[in-house]
Amino acid sequence: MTKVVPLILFCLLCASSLLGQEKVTLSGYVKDASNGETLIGATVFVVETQQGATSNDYGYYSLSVDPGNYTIEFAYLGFKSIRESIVLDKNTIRNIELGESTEQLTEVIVTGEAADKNVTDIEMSVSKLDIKTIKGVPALLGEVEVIRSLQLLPGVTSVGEGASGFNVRGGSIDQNLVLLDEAPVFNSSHLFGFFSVFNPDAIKDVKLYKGGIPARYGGRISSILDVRMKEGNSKNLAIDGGIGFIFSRLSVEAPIVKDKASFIVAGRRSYIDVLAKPFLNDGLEGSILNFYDLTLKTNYNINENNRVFLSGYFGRDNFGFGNAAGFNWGNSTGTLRWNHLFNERLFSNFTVYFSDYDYRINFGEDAVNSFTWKANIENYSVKPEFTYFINPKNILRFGGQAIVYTFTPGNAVGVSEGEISDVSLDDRYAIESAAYAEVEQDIGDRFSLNYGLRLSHFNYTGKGNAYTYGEFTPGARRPVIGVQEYGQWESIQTYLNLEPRLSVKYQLNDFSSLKASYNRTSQYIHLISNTTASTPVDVWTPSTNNIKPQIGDQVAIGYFRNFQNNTYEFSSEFYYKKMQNIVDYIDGADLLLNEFLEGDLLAGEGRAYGWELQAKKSKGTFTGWVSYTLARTERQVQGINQNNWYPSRFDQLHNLSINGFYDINDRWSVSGTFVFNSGTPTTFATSRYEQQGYVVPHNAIDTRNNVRIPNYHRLDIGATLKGRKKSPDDKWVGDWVFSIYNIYNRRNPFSIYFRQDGDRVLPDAPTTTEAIQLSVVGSFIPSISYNFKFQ
Amino acid sequence: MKYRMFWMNKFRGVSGPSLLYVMGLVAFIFITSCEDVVDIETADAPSQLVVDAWLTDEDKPQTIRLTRSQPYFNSEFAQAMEGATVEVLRNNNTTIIFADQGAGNYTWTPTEEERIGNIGDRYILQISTADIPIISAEATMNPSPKIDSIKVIFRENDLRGPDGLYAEFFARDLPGFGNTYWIKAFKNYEYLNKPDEINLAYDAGFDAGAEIDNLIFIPPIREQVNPVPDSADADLPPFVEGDLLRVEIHSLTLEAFEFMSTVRDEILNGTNTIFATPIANAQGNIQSTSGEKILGVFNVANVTRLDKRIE
Repeated sequence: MTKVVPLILFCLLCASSLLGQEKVTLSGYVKDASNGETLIGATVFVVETQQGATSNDYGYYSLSVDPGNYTIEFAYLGFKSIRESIVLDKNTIRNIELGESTEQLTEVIVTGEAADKNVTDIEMSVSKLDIKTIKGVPALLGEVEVIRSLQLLPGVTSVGEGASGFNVRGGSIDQNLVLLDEAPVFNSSHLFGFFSVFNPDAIKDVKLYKGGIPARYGGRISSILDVRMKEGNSKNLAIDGGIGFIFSRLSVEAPIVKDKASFIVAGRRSYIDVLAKPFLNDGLEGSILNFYDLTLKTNYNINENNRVFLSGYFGRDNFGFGNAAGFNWGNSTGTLRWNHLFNERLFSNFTVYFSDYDYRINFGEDAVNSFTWKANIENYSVKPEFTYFINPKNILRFGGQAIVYTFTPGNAVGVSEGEISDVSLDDRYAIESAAYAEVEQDIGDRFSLNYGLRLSHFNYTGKGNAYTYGEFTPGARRPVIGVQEYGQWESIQTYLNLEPRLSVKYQLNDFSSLKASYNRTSQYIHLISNTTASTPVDVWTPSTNNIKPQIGDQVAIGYFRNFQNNTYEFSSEFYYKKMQNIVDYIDGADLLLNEFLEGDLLAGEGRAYGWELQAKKSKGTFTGWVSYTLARTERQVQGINQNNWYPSRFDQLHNLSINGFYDINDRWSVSGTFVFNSGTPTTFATSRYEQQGYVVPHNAIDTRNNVRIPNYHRLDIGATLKGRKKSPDDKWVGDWVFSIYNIYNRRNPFSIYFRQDGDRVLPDAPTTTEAIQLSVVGSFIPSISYNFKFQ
Repeated sequence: MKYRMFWMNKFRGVSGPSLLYVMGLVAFIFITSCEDVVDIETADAPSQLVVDAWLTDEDKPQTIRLTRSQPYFNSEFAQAMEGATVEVLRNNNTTIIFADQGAGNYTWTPTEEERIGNIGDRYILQISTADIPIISAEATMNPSPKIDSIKVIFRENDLRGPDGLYAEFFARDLPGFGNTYWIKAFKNYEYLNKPDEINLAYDAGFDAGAEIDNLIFIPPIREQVNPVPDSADADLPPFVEGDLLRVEIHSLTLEAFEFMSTVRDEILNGTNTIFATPIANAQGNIQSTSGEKILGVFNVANVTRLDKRIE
């Protein structure tokens, strides 16, 4: 952190030279009048000067102008704008509450902000999904899903149905930093990949940075998914809930001290095991299969200048088979934040968080023969952030972060006939730190810039052994040639990276703009996984003396245009991304409980490029969007595919989604989603040969991902019947949600694999070999769920 | 520890389905996953010479097979390679000649006085064909531990299989890191030849990553001598009274172990469904001076054995 201080001083020095002398500041919070939730990205606009500001992640805005009388407009899409005349002769605090629009504006909005924000804002390559939109998308088994909804946006893909995580612009799933109230979530899935850990009842805002990543974010090279939780209703008690096929939800939010402190508690639990009980026999009785999560948050307004937030998440997936075996995994996070206003222009936030992902596996019915295995990644972080609203044309952000990691790659103890063998691996330790400064600047009426620099540092430390490995020969693991022991917190290897970030916007006219961005990002921790879909037992590993940090460079350019008074939005973006030191694996790599894992890893390069198009209608009774991505993502790794470039397993040339939402009347609304994805590549055996009577599949031309599985397409429809209040005092409103997933019953392939017939081969018969297409969802899936609200 | 080992062996123990399969089964009760046999065209690839040379110190005819690889979907017996010269040189002083029996089989039968050799002996396989003059491979005969006992128990219907008699063998891994074995089971003298019956051990456990030396083999290895039922016979127990179970431990070289574990992983990779790994070629240990790639493995095993009548 010693590097942070001079940087901050430097930034402040630069900033002070930009300061006007006699300006006054209008500042405050923008909130939702109905529940007191702060509004992120609301606009505050000075009509006379045509200047504006946007409320930040905590709903705070600050605008500096010359003293005078002004008309100020506060606006947020879907809400009634407020226009106020304000005499600004001194610094003024104005907290504003916006009420929801009574007009039938739109039930489904893709962005909840100023109508032309997509064109006028400097941000590009950003996908925002309003929770209302997410709730409108027809969902698998009727369960509203954040991450599956994101996959309907350009540039976001997945290797297949049921796979956990998501791929952004050709990056692997561990290259996404998934933040829940600033704490990283290391495994964002329940039930492998069908549901995400985010409870929609507790989520306020979801924002995905695919490119043009500002300097305040770092740590992963492909994307940042910033999920913000609701603060909790500060006006009155509200209860939301839902009953579905897979799980039920309940959330309670209420003020603790009205307009001063509030909380939200939201929980979900699946009951597949309960429902499945009648079908479980043949030894499956007593099976456990469930997941649950609990999300909570509370906040307290100490005074105008100080507000604190405490939020947490705890979730778990459980599998158990009587006494014979058990397997569970889950995340827990905790975040404490303190917003402090040094003055009207200097907003700060101090975050302290912890985050943990762990899993446990046990086998064996008795103490004489058993196996237990635990692994986890745990980290603690402090993160001070400052926003300095210099004037309406300049905002300076600066801050830093320090993260302490403990990796427990495997604590495993086997007992064989009472003899204990501990095959645990040593814990690993690392400290990641960063400092950044970023300036958002308007130059004239047309140019906007966001430029910044992030300095990141990684220190891989003891206690533990550091190994050195011999030369790589294709097809073989590298042998250990040396070992050195290090003491606790003794540095084994350090890395330092300078990450420049730049975004430029040129406003062509009121309704169109050109944007461009460049960012360099570095990533110091890696998910070790060589399966098609990531499994819950995959282990995170730090960069070490053998594993270098991944470095990403991305350039993107885009054209943004709105039509018919912002009724239609259109965007077109090109991107090119280069990735260094991506992790790959030797054939037959041994990734779990392997002390010498690093000898099985390969480092390579990646490149991804594509064209993303999106057209969106966000006003009226019919809304929706079409997104299309033409993309390629490739890898080059010494020792794989004869050292030539090959497509990544999740490469998809075409990716189309069409999403429509229609409000038939006050009560009924319908929606539909169609997706089409090119088949992902996979590797087929070319030949077979016999060895000791077994038929061995063999790829004689030694290629990787050289054939494509068939294309994926699917249509889902949904309908919502909104409840009616029987009287104005009625506090209960219930909605019915109907959906059919995969309506035309297509068996979409997840993969095609080769196998020999599973039955015993008779000595005189040759072995039959065949290709099998695996469909994770093999039929259409109808569902009904009931959601209610008590307020 | 490899995924397959985790997903399958860790839990399977006996003939039950894989952990993954069970999880999938339960998870997809409402989501019907399905598998269809499809027609696929594979890329053209050259046919390669295959050497199948797994010799043992047993008192029975020893066979080395020479065949050729064929297109993956060609479900026929492999094409035999006849007319080659096949010899094994022991400790650089004794040559054992394998006679061409036709159909790609080259055989040598040990005599009362002359077994193939002793533990620690070094062997060089030398083959010469019309196209490739010198093909060679090396192997050392490693030791196998004695099998102490085979235990048979009655187990009630559970996830691993129906009610019935199940067997388990007991043996202790030999001292020292890096001993590798192939445990073979025979039911009524019929070799259990399904891919998911392949039972390999690295010391007392599955692989090198976890160092468990000189222990009794861990339970999943001990129990993997029970036959996996065919799909139509899933309700049948592995053994009934009167059956004979034979368990053999064949010592492997590290190369042969790596080869067979890759072979098993590759054959069964599809059963990992969405968690399949990229396909990998098994690395053999046969070289040719002409640079042509030869498939297959040469290994000379010390074999220990125990028979047990099920009762």
